[in-house]
This record gives sequence, structure tokens and C-alpha cells, in this order.
Amino acid sequence: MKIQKVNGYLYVTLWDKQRKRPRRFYLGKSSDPRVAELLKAAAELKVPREEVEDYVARQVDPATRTTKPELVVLSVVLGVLSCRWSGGSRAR
Amino acid sequence: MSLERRFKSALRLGARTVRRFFPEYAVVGRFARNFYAPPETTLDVDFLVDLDDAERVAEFLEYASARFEVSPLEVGHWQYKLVVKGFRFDLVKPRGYRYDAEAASRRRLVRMEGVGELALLSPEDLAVLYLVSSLDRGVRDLIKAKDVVVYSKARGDFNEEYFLRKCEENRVKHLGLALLAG
Repeated sequence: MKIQKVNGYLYVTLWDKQRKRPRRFYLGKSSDPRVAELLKAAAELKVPREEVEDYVARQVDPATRTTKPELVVLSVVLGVLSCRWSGGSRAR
Repeated sequence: MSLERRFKSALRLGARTVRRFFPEYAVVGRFARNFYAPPETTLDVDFLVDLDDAERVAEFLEYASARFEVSPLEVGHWQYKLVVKGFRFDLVKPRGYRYDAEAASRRRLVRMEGVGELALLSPEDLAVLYLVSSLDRGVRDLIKAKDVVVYSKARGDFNEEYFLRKCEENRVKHLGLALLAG
């Protein structure tokens, strides 16, 4: 992925999977490269395959094909306990 | 009562109150994300609702403030905090994100023991919402979008065509394409 700078503006050309052809996107002024940096980060983010396999094997409810609800509830209970132990307020 | 039971009871009450005034609500934020990817700890539950409907918001505030702690108490904000039994529930309408009838029709209904039915924003729409919010909040929301995409695809529960169309409608198609390509 190559970000182009033209007359003080940033653009990127990406393969548009829907239109099946390249497409140019405007990313803002070159003085504000935040969107361009976000785009680079989006292209570089990776999730390790082992973590994905472990999630599907152990944390997904086969009946609903979502995370087991008890684990989702646990995420709140642990969040609240962690906040309590660190002296925070639950209701923030 | 255990913390888990107290939370479930609070969520049941909170969701019932939200549903009463905003039947098209969708659970968003980390609580919704946790149904689609390995759970991360969280402190609250976020409900996406139409806060532009001043009349409904006013009715909601009148009803909820008589029963729970609510703030702010005036119409016209983009976020409201509802505290039920010590647990926080937020009503939000994120700036820059278009929640339409199509997204509402694709909500996922999950049934939780002790809570009842909850409507979650679909994984595709939740990923789009995270991409929109990443424009303000940066990479941390991008990571959440990536998690929802990758783990939902692994569960065989992600429609790329719909995701990209919604990305286009919300002006984040470049981010959606880069996320899928990565």
C-alpha cells in the first residue's frame, strides 16, 4: 500500500473488492497525517492464528455461534472487581 | 446476592427500560464485542439509541430518573449515563455513525439466562462503528474492529459484501478494505 502526496493532500489507491478495480481514496491534508497513519495500522494489524483457533475451540457456543454468554458476563464481573481492587468507582 | 446475579438483574432492568422507549436499540461497545471475539474486561454496557428524537429522550429521562440515577437530565446530549444497582449503562449515539433500519434489522438476538433477550449490533455493523470511532479515538478502536472481523470470520459469521457497503455509507471504506487486506 503506497500513500501518495499530491499538492499538499494525501491519497491512497486500494483494490476495491466490490467493484473489482483499483480505487483512489482521499486521506486529508498532508499536514494532518492521522488518517494515513490509521490506514497503515489497519493494513498491518494481525491476529495470531493460534489465538483464533483457541477461541473457536474453547470459547464459542456451538448452538449460537457467539462467545459463550457466561464468559461475556464474567468479563463484566472481573472488570468490576478489578476496578474495586484498584480503588475506582464502578459507576464512574 | 452474588455480583454476577446482581449484574444480570441490573442488566435485565436496564435493558427493559431502554427497550420501552427505544425498541430499535442495539447493544454496542465492548460488551457487544465480547460476543464476537475473546472477551475483555469491561465495566458497563452501551446501548445505541436514537438520541435525536427529543420527545422520546424527554420521556425516557422522566421515567428513568424516577427509578434510577440518570445523568445528564436535559435533552440534547449524545450520551446518557444510567446507573442501576451500581452498574453503569450508557445510552449513546456516536457522532458520524449512521444507524439505519437495515442495521437494526440485522441485529443479533441473544438470550442470556437471568437477563432475557438482548439485541446486539451485528458483527459487520459493530466493526463499521469501531472504524468510524477510530477516526477520533485512534488505533485502539481499529484493533477492536479487526478483532470483530477476524474472529467473526473464523466463526463463519461475517458478510464481507455487507460490511464493505456499510463502510462506504459511513465513509470508512478505505479502512475497511485495508483491514480485510491485512
